[in-house]
Amino acid sequence: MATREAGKKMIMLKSPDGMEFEVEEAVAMESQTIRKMIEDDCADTAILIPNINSKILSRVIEYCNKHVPTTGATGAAASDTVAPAALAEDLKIWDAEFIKVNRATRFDLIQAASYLNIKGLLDLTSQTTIDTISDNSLEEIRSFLSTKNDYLPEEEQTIRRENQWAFQ
Amino acid sequence: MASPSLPPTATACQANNGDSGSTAPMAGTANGSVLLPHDLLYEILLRLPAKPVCRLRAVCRSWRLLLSDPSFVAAHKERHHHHLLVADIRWETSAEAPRVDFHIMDTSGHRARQIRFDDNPHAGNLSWSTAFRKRNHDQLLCLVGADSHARVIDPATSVVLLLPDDRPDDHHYHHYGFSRRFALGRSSTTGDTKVLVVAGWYAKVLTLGDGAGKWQKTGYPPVTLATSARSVALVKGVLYFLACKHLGIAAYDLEEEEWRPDLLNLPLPVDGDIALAELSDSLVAVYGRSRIPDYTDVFMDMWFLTDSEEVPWSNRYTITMPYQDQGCRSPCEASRGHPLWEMDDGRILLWVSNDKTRAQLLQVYDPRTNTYTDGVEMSCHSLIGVYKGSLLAGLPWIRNYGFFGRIKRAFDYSLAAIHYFTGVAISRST
Repeated sequence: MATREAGKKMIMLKSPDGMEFEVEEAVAMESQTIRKMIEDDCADTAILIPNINSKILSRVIEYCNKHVPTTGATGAAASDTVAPAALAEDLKIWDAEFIKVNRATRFDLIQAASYLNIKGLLDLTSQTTIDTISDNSLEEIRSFLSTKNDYLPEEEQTIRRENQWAFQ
Repeated sequence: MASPSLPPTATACQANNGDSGSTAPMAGTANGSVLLPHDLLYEILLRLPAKPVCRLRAVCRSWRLLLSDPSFVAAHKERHHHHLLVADIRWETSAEAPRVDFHIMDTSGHRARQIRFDDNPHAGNLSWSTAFRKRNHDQLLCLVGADSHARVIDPATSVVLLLPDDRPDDHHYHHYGFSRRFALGRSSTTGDTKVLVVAGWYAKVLTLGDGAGKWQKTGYPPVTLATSARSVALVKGVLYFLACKHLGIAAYDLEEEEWRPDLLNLPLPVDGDIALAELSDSLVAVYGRSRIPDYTDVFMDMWFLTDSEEVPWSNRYTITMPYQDQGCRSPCEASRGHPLWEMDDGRILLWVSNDKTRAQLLQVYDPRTNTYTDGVEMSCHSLIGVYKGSLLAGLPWIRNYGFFGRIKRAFDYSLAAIHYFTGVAISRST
């Protein structure tokens, strides 16, 4: 495992559209995918992040910056440190603001979070989608996910009857 | 200098290439550019609670295929195993019998599913009737089909299975009344679900399956069994019963269909409340105790049965009850708790009850910090158990769920006698 000095080591992240982002190593290591690369010494000075454009990558970095464990908590276990209640509450409010984005951006963030293996971001973005799916009518869900209803009317009635409890 | 690069993944490729004719559901935009690849959508669907999943089956054919697929159902169960099963029993003032609603909820009290059984025998539903035994002012509530037959209910499908009559063909019981205890469990190796009934002078076992099934005579327990609802636990295919007068624990092996010849000794003499529970596949003896005679200092010991012959029990937790009461005269008035479920993160879901204040709460206890979360208040008519099945599948009779609780009614003090496992809900009748 790469040892970290008290001084801040910086990492360069590159998006495929040519933008470069200099971030603290601790921030980049919020991504388990990048952490693994760093720990395996595969990362030298710059890491190319394929398939995540600069707009999304900058948002991901913004998220990691906010969520990286604060000073004092160092070492590999730092991310497990339980934040004080006030800090947790602050983060929650920040997250709620952060996720106020359009659907396309949110889906991009889900993909980025999954690919970079950032659990907190994946939970946050997924939960928002789950809330949308849970709260809306079938018609709204179909439009939200751009799916067409291909049931015959009597088929749909059967399905609804089979899963009746879910419609109550 | 060449930069190291993360390898593209299937996910990333799919996002670029789009869906290549697969029938799997895909979230996209109307103009055809895919926004969310199906493996990520699958992940999100797995996070959904059971109710919206069942609703989404009506979205389109491919979604129905996916959301009913056994592999999806199995993966979903992994994520969402353990729901609380709460039977909410309410009396309509005009009615003789209570109305029974089953709620399945999560630990924060969010209801996932509700099943209602109206007391209408003609509808083919389960019907319940009550009988109170007025003796020593200590009444036992009986929840029994109006016809005295036991039922087994599948909460995922609401299927009610009427069990054949276990009673011998004589009429003694009509005359004298008698008690029957039902317990249900799954054999750990064959997976058969069996129902055991122990009555005043016989014991029988029934294997649930496709056929009607017949009650088979089985051995009589080596000792008189305690009657409280918390005195039975199913652990790895073995039903454990507290013996009367705390003589020990009797064990019935559902696989072999026989009683173990020797009683299991309790870890400590009983001084207060005692109950059996199952946590993380272990048998647990739960002691409610107090160091002070006025019960202002009630704590709960949880002794886990181990594999060791020299030290069969290990006291893994001692928990101070969240509420302490002043001026209790007997342990019955003090707070008592019962562990329902040891969660994956090590926290323990507790049922906490206080007879004096008539409160009944669900609380999550964290042994690492010795703290409780805020409790979910339950109706004082509720029976509470943990349901370990999937709400997505209609695969009856393969679930295990323990079930107990406490029922109170104005002027009545009744110990709930739904004995272990929903629907098999008979203990005593007059």
